[in-house]
Amino acid sequence: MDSEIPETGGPCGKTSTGDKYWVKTNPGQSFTFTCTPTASAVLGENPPSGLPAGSVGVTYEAFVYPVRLNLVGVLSASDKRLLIGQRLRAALTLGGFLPSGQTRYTWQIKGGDPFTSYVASTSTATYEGWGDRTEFTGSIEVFFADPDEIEVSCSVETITPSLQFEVKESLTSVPPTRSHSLEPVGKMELIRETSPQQYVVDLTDPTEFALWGAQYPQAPPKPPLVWGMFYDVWVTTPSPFAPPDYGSFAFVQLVSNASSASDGLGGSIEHDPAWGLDKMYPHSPPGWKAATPQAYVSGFPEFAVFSDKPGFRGLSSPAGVWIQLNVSDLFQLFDIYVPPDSAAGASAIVPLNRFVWKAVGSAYWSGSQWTRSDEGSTGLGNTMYPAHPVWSRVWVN
Amino acid sequence: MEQGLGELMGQYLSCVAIFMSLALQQDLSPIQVWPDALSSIARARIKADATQEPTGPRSSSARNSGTLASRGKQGVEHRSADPYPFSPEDIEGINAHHLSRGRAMEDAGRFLDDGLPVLAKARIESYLITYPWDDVVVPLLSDALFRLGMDAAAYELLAPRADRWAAPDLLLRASLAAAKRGEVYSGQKEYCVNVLAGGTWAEMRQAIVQSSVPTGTSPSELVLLSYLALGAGVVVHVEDRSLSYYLGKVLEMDSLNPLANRCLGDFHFRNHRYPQAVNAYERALVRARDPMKRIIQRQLETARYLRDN
Repeated sequence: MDSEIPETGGPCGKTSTGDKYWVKTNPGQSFTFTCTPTASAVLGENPPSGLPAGSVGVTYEAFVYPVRLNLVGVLSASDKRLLIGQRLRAALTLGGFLPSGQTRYTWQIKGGDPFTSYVASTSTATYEGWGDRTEFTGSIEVFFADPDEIEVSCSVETITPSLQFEVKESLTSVPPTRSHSLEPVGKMELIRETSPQQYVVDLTDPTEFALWGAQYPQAPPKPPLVWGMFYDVWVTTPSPFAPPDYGSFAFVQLVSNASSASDGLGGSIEHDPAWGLDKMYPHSPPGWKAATPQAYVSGFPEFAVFSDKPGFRGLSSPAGVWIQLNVSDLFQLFDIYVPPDSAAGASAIVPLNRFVWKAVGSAYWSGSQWTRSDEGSTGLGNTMYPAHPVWSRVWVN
Repeated sequence: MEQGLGELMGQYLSCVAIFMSLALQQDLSPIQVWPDALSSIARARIKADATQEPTGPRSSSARNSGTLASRGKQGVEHRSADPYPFSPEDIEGINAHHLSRGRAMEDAGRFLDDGLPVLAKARIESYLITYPWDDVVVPLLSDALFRLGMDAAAYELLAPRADRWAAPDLLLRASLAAAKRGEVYSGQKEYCVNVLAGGTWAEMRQAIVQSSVPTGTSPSELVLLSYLALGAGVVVHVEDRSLSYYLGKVLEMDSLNPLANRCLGDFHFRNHRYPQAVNAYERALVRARDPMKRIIQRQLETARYLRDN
């Protein structure tokens, strides 16, 4: 694209000066341009005065203003990778070009699911996505939630001189290494607590109607661990993004709980099925864990197994009184990751995966015996790089 | 009357559960369910274990130890966020398992990098003696089998595990094993394309599909596409292991494949082999389309500069 400011100056015999501006896109290491007209001069005598006259000279001065889009936060100028969640600062430098008036910068990002902030606490979590924008500053800061090829472009409009040009840069957002091995989900069952946190299936004198039977296998001869469900994740920040700082990862779970209970004596429990945070942020245990290689800490990996056992507890079996229990809990379990900080600043949290699972079943005490059924408790699959979990309420139970 | 109330409430709650599930799952498409067709064929040959139905209710003697209390009082309490009480011994056992797996995968990966798939296979199989249920190592074991030319064994390993919930690294290898066997399923191609380019922006996706993805759905085209998804996916996922093997397979079938050459160029670039990177980028540009072409051109300029300076 070429653009210019017209020459200014006087008629022949006067000094004439002017500026011309060209925009050259992707000029490479060097480039050439030709100035016309070439200079010529005629010298002679002015007849009336006898003085010499007619001198003509053309002088050209050429400047180049290298306009660059600098990416801060990528590994290097030649290896433009950054981890998802790492902060990227894209800054346009005009290379000494000083336009007057207010310069407008229109920023556009393609790919990578960019966002500008994610703030989470136990009470609330908010997410603000990126939108293309026009600003009067030559830099932006942004995070990416998805691994992708990304193109950042900035269209610049200057008032004096009146120019418009666009600069583009590409980069790649990459994820950490994530390992996940099992996600067993049990069935709704009547169980009895025989000692603290020890349970057996008991259809005659249960203390809980809960999700049960998921097994976490152990190396023989150890028996498997048994609970309502398990989900394990190990996350490692790879080289060259780490060490020394590896970043960290954790679980967070949202729940929609439509369970209810009622009995023949007028007692009842109804739950608001609206989605909310399941009790704590991040979910603890295990809480935040360092995203270190598996053999990093004292020869052992960081321990990150999520487990849960939703249902009703505190059951009793009163003679002659009916009890109806309905469990209908839907869960979204996220593993979330915050990478090490980049040169551009602090990183943001990104979700790596969403595992949806449900616990559904009912139990009925007729006054003399229990019956129960599981109605489809199961895992409903994983989604990599899902939307950020947001919530505005927390369910304690 | 009491039973009727319970049934009514059960129906209402079931409706809520179904509605919520649908909201999350939406309709299943062939892209999602193609592995089910693959695994059902494989599983048909495996005699299913007898499933155990829950036993019926037991009669009990009457008790009068309490009643369901209204919310907020002592009695029945709905409870979520109820984690397993891991003992130090449990943690030690789990850590030992993951450490053992990590070492097995590291060793096997190194053997594959060194062109020793027999040792890689043996290393994973020895690990599976202790942890036979651990499917995380299945993709790596299948990599060794493919390199040994044991395609039938890879199929037997992968196909039964290929259900709609399986992870992409397993499903792409299952797609490869099935295509090598001459099996192509509805939705299989779309799944591979989705893994390859599903998450990127529209113009980039279009550029990848139009320049690099085979147009048909023949088994040989699905073999190429599966190789491409395995190789190109690895670029995005940082880990370089197996990348050059799978990309090499693509280039044996389509030497000017833009995406494979571009990924191979990136692989060489990251390992500071700039002449090889330049060659790969130049081959990628032959058929590349914008915006992929634009990005490759910039990378080529950088690679040339680093090669020459």
